[in-house]
Amino acid sequence: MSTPSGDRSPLLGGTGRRIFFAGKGGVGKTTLAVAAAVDAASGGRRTLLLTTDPAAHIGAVLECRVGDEPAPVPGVDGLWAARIDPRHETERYKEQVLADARERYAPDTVQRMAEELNSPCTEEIAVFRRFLTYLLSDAYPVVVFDTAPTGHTLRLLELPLSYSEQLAVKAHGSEESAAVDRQEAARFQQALALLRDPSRTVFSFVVYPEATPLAEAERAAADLRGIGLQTTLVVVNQVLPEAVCVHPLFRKRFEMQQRYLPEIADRFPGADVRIAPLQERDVVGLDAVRRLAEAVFWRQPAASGAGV
Amino acid sequence: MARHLFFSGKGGVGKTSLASATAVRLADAGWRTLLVTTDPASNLADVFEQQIGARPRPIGAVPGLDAQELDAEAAARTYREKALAPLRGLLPEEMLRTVEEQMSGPCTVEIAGFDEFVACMLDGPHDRVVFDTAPTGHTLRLLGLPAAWSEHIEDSAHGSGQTCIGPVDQLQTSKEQYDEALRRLRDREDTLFVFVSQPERTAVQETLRASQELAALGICNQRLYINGVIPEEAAAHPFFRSRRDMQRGAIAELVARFPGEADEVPLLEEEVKGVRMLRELGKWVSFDVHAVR
Repeated sequence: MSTPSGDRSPLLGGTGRRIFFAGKGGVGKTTLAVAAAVDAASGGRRTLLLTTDPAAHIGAVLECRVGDEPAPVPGVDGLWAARIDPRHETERYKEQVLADARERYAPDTVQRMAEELNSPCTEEIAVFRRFLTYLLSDAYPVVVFDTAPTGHTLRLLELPLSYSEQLAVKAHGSEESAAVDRQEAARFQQALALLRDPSRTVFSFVVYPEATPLAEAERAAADLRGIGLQTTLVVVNQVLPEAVCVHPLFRKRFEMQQRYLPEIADRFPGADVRIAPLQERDVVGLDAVRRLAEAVFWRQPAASGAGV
Repeated sequence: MARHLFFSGKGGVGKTSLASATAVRLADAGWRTLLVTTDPASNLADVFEQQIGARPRPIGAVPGLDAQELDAEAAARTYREKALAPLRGLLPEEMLRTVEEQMSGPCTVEIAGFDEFVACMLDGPHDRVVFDTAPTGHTLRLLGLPAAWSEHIEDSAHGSGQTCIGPVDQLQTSKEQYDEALRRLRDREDTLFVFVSQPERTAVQETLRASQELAALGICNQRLYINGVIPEEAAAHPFFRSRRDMQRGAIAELVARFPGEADEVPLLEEEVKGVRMLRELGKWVSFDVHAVR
């Protein structure tokens, strides 16, 4: 396939980018993350693509095996991919927290902590901590994540650490564990600063042009804004191409979608709104990925609501 | 037929539409029916084109149907306040803020929402109760954990293990009521879990996983709607014929692997709004709703 010509989205240009795709399960986050990563790598920047999907769906899209350690993706120079296994990371994180707690607290407290760690928030935090390693690494100028932390997770990371640090010093802990906590807190602060800087991080939402998914994404974006993270990209997925909507059923659905498109820019102020047209087939293989990337990240004028 | 119907599935799959259509169908068949939602962005008011409140309110256009919007966020606030009250004065203000933040997550809201559900499940004059959101296996497991946590919240706030659950014993529901609710959820005569999924490859695994999670908790009375299936006659253009073929593959896999009955619901040409569209969609609901007394 020839190199696409046209205006590359300014969001994916530049250097030193961390690109997150947020949105409900099944809206196409992973596919769009793959497209963004292939596009960035094809633009000549060493890129790492990370997935938290345990089934490593990116492997199916890219038609290669994706493991727990970054490995080159055949067929795309400069693209590496790895999987973060949420279950594995959660177990590892739990072990770590409890091992630490065993040294500091009574057995019944440790037992209760073990119970409370059985929470989906724990998984989110565990995954995010693994993200941090890649997020703060200099090895890849571009890192694309197919999952984004929620406002809730980020607030949790920001708050309690200062307390564990405080308490470790005041009451329970050793000098050593206090130093470890301080180091950890400094990493979180560094990560938050990076996430809050729109020149270094792209926070994007993937949505369908329908009432409920839009309302949900709007709430999540507002939540992130509350802690200083600006949504800078919204990809509207599965937009019906007008030309194929010949049957009245699809003509009507096309018109319904078109009614929602103009309001999306107002609902996500400051975000570049991009259209991802519904594809005839599942996006599998590099050619299909490149076609999608071109359609989403190249051809449309910035902040367009049309151009499908 | 089960008295309680829980609709389960991710946002945007048509859960509220199918729950509403089912409730209308049940009421039309003569059952006194209550439709309950805990979605904070509930669009029941748009769907029924009338106001819905925090108390059951009759739906004008459908005799025998009441609807109710439970406010899970408000319930979560109350729950949080109850949990924090005994700690005020004991813990520094900043630490209280931490605990409050930890208890502001989606799991707290889900638990508080389920707590409200239990109240609806255990009493009320209705023959049938349709819930447009179902608790996940995760929530049900949390509620099964030992309940006497509040005295220890101080300890857990000291640890580095973040939590968002909080003390379960601050729920309005007692352990006995919770156990009774769980018993009913497991009772095939009493409860049916209705999964709503889309005919897409990526949705298949997710639906099966959620179904297995409930089955592991002994909740086995499950059925599935595969929503948004492209009708054959609408697949005239090759673009949609190709998409329809993909859908058929996902449907075949869901039907083969889902443990209960699975039915297809076609993609409709309009958004489901108003009682006329609900009755239209209700034609695809295949419960034995006609088994009226």
